Amino acid sequence: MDYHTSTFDQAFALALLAYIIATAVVSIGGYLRRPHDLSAVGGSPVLRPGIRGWYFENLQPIEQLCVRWGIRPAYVSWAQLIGSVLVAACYAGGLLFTAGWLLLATGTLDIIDGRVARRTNSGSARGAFLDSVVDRFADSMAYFGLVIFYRNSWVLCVVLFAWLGALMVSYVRARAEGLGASCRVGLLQRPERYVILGFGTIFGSLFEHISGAWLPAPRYWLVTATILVLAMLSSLTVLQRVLHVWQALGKSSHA
Amino acid sequence: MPEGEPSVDLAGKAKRVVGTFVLMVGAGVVLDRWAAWAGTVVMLVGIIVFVWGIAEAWARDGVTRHERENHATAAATKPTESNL
Repeated sequence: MDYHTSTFDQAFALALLAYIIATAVVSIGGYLRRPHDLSAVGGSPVLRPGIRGWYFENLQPIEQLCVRWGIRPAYVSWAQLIGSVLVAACYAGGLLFTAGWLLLATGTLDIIDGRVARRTNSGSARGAFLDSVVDRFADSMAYFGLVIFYRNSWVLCVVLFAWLGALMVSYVRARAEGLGASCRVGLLQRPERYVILGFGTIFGSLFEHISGAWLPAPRYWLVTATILVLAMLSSLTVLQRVLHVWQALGKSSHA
Repeated sequence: MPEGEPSVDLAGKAKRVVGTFVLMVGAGVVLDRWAAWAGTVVMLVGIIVFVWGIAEAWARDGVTRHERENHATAAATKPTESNL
């Protein structure tokens, strides 16, 4: 990619960084200062209950508008599918900042469809199947875009490794549930992957514009570091899940 | 309020969330020099939606405060057993 950094780029990227940090501090800080019952929210080592609660609070009005306007969960899934194609196009074209936000939006649509289905009592086996297929596709499209972006770099191997990890995390759970074992464990489930990759590319892109072009190759090293972390943590999650299912199936076969 | 009917506050919040997202997408288009003018227009749309959401929240706050004051006044002037 033909790349140069001007003073405008640096100032604009700094202003965006300041805006994002200020908005997050005010919004999350304001939420955490108020008392909340977070027992039903759940949590993980990466996404703590407070952050999840804040996220769901901001999601609620959009979810309610979907219910009010009669938007069916399947339509939300199709929107997620289209969004994931845009994510891939943005990653492939080097629009990393935009791709990061679109990735977070498609992840949000993935959550909204399930919540709308529960609220309107319109969940079905067909809807659940469509949701799962679209999830795998959306997951893969982000990595597909990154593969094109890093096609001439050694980072391509890291992206492919992260892609494999993401697919394996989902496959192990699907196979375990097919055998009747529960598999809702692991450090890096899908929401965590979306958040890490999304914010990794957002801040990586900003940092690239702020720091200028003097850094050595590879380009977007913060994004590269994020993908590397994703690849390692996804592999760790696969291992966690395999061990969990192995033990669960061992117990059920002895019983 | 019927089920699924967003309050003014929720509609305002939805506008703030969507406005921020649109603003960020537009900013990305400008930042990565893909189509600066298109990005600027998208950013402006995001800012307008965000400000609209803020205005709705303020309007809602004003109505709520006014209702609260009315309730307080009504409670203070309500005839009781002792002063009838």
